[in-house]
Amino acid sequence: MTGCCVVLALLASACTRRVVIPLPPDPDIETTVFLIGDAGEPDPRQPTISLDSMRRQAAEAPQRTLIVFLGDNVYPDGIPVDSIALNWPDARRRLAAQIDAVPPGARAIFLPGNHDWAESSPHGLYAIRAQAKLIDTLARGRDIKMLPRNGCPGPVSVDIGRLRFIGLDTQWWLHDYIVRDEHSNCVTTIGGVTSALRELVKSVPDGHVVIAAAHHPLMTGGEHGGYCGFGAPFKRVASASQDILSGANRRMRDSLSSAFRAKPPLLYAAGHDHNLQLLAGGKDVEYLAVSGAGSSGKAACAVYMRESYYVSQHRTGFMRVDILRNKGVLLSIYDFTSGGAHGAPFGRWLEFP
Amino acid sequence: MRRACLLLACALSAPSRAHAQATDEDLELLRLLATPITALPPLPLQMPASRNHSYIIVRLQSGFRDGPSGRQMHATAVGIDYQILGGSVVGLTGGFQNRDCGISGVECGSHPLFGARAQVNLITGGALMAGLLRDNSTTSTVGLEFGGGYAPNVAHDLNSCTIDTGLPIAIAKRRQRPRLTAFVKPGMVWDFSCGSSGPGTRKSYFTDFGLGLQQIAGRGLDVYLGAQKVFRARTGLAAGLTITYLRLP
Repeated sequence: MTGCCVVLALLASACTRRVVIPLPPDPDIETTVFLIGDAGEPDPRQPTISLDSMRRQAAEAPQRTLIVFLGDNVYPDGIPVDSIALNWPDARRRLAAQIDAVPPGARAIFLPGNHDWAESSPHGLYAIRAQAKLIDTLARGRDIKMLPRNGCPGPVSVDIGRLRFIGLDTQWWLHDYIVRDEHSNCVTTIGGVTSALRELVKSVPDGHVVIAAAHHPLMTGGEHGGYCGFGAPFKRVASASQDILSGANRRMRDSLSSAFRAKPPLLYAAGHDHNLQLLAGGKDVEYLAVSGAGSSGKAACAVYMRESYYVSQHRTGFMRVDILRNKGVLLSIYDFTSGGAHGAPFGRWLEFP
Repeated sequence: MRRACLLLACALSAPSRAHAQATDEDLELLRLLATPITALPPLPLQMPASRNHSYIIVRLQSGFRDGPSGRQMHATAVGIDYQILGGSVVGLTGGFQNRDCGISGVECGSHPLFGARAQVNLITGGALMAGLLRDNSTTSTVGLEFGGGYAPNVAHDLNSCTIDTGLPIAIAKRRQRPRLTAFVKPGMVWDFSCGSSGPGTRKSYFTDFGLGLQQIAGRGLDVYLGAQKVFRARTGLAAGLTITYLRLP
């Protein structure tokens, strides 16, 4: 008995508390992607710590930087369709805080989330179009835009060096109201979207790195995954479409996974749950990331699951992916307590150099 | 001649008289300690997994417990569990336990034991314990557990059946694998005879507790060291090792 205890203690102490990998030398980095989600509730009085920290890092080499906002860019109901609405100035402020976090020279993509679709309400399609237009206005000619645009589901791709970034609007799949009209100039059938995504991942040349991103996670140990809080057990019985356990969500995930299976992306990044998680993806995607801790006031619980590589709960933060020129992809996770304290970033090579 | 016949009859009936020497309390304790819930080392709550899948888990449990006579009764079992959508678990167990032949009338050897168990995963979170343990990756789980067990031939003409319920709690921490976990489960167990004679039904309280290392090798191998205290006189302590393996899809 005592021997077993000693063995347990030795095994436990043999492991480091946190894996820290220093960033690669600057010349080796071809592209840096920042992933931050659910950042639509910035503090109205002072800079949001995660946005501020991300901006400082991105400003070091803006020309090689892509910042991806993973949806829920404006809480609680997206951009009001009517610009004379009383809540329009505050909605604009929320979006402006994120656009201001993109340093000059860097490019940025805003993905749509369920709150951007007017919190999944009947006028969601028009709210998402209003947000895309407002982003264009606030960007003032810089390379900052919403993708996919016009209330389209995607997929859309952006190629930067070895990186193929694929953006999707997963709320399109889950929205219970109008999702297309005569202005929709895109594929708007589930089969069509799945086929387009399959072709997009299949056409990636060997040696390239695919990062797919959308607002809704394919797997999560947070509230939307049926964990955390007293309400979680009931979500297993009666889930909303926003939750992993619902039928609508499962159909969406199954469709995306079947498309990814053609040539599994290295990383699928999402927000939606307000925490930071890196998970093992399985046979459809190598790694799954949840980076939905962009608003410190919303940071929430996360459960360490069997699939988890890393979990950070009740902390604001973001992820950084450095893609090296020839081979090597390093993911680093930065998190901050409500007081602003932070430890060394967690790091993991998604592709060894 | 008549006296000789009487002596012979006494001699032939010696085993059954010895059996009669085991008190009702002896028999009841043997019956209580014979099924998986008390014979085997504690079974902690499974580590949470993704809701995307359900998982098959194989399990090996081996340990010992003090019998009513003070002798150690070794028990070993294998089990198969099904973790539903990464949370609740249902499982079956089969194995054997050495009898406590320090009790008069109980033959040495072993008896089989069988069990069925459901662990309902109620709440899995971590915020409160993460603060207390100063580890942001802490996860705690509270569940409800229901089980039933059967062990034939625990003693002569004595089959054991048990029904138990418990409140398992597990707390796991460490950012990196293996995860260190501590678990405790207060509970109660009812033991009764099934398909045999024996004392009346009796209720007992117990507490399981232990430590474990989750994800020792790869993502699916866990090892737990656990003990159990039944709050009854002459039940001693149970302790042993549980190894579980789950293969992620």
